[in-house]
Amino acid sequence: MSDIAAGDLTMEPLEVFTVDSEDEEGAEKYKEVITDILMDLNLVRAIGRLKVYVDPKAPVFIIVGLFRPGLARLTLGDVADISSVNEGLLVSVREEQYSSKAIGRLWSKYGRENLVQTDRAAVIVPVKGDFEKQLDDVSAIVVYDPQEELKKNVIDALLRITPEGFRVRKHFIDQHMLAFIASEDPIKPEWLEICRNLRSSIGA
Amino acid sequence: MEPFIWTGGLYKHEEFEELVEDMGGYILQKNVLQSDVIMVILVPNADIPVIEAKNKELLGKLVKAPLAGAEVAVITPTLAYQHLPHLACDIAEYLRRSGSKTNMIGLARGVGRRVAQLTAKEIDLINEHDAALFLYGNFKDCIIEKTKLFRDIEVPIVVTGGPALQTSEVPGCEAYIGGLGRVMHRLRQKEETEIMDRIVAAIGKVLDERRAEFDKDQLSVSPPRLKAEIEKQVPDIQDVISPTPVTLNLNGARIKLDYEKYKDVIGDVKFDEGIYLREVCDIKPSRMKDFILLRIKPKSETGFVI
Repeated sequence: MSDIAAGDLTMEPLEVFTVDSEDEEGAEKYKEVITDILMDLNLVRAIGRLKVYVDPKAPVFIIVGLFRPGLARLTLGDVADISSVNEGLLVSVREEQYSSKAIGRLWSKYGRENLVQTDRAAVIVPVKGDFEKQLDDVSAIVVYDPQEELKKNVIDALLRITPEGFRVRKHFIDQHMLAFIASEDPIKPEWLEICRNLRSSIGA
Repeated sequence: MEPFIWTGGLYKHEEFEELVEDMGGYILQKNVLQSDVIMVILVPNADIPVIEAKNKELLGKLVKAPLAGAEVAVITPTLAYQHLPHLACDIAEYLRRSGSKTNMIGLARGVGRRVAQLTAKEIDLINEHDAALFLYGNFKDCIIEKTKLFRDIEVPIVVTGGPALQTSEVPGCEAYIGGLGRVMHRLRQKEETEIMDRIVAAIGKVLDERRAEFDKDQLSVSPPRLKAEIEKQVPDIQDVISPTPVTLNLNGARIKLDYEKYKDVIGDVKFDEGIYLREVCDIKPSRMKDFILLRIKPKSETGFVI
């Protein structure tokens, strides 16, 4: 897999997906398990490359993966109409599904007692100081971050995929990649080495 | 006697029920689901044509139930989503359709390789069944390692797993069936159904062997007769809401009544021959809730068969 350049993030869903093990029959079966779980959690399109290494004799389970670049974040400016009224800024959320989250974010930013809620999906934010700056501030509040959701689902998937008895775990997860080692026994340095090799082989 | 599952409508189903009882057969289980009735029945071999004719008249469905009258434990390493629900529930349901009473047991500490173990209570509970089906994973090595759990289990064990192994490679089990393993989807494919058929056949075979074993030293009374007499003479059994208030085993029964309160009532059940139930059965507390467990004594112990 040396032809995969590091940092190259234009990839197909699951363009690399392998399960390596000495027990080839078991590896084949495990591939099915992982496909089923990724499909259940709607993660197939979110993951670009995935490599798994299982050694039942050690025993150790290692999984590394690369995310595909996801959807953009949604800000309050995207989902709400913001207009100026006498009391301040009237934020009226257009998209029903984000209304409670958007208002929640405003509450936590400005304090519940400082806001006037005129409607189920509309609040007035009092203006303090520079109007332009505050307009930008309010518009920039993130109401939905697909990466966050994705992260939650990926962690859920990892826990479902890993053999249940492997309770000693070491993991790393960020915006672009994930790495996960699980075993019954304390994690050995050579497993970390295998994990590192797998990571470099998928360009992470 | 031959076991069957009869499925039919509520209308006139009593006629079918009475016919079975009149011929000396037994109703092992009866479930009424709105306007449908599902019954597990035992019919004397000579009278099967009569039953078939009645079934035709009532437009019901009569299928053989090879596992009827037996209780099978379906055992998964835990009840977590790694093992449940698809595989375990689908297999358990498939066994039920073959007539067995199936219980699902999720172990407390059955996970892992080196760390896997059975608790004393689990061992006792599994030993109350007629056969145990262990659902293991995808790796050959792990399956063989985990056979250490079978050490104290006295009932015949059937194992399923992913790799295709010979039964002789898996120590301590009566049969090994490969091809399933850890599966995270419903078992709907033709091949998967075929594997489940093989599981039913394997369990049927070990149960037959167990029956043959009991026949060498005949049981003093047959379990279905035990059930019939208890239902006739202990009226409180009618108030139990469980689908099978008296669950049959090959060599006894589990009665879903409180042990302390009912052990004497059950012991006082009298057969037509003038023999009391306590003379032909060991009455013990079951490991399942506070139920009563009956184990029928063999002829060598009581000196008679009724």
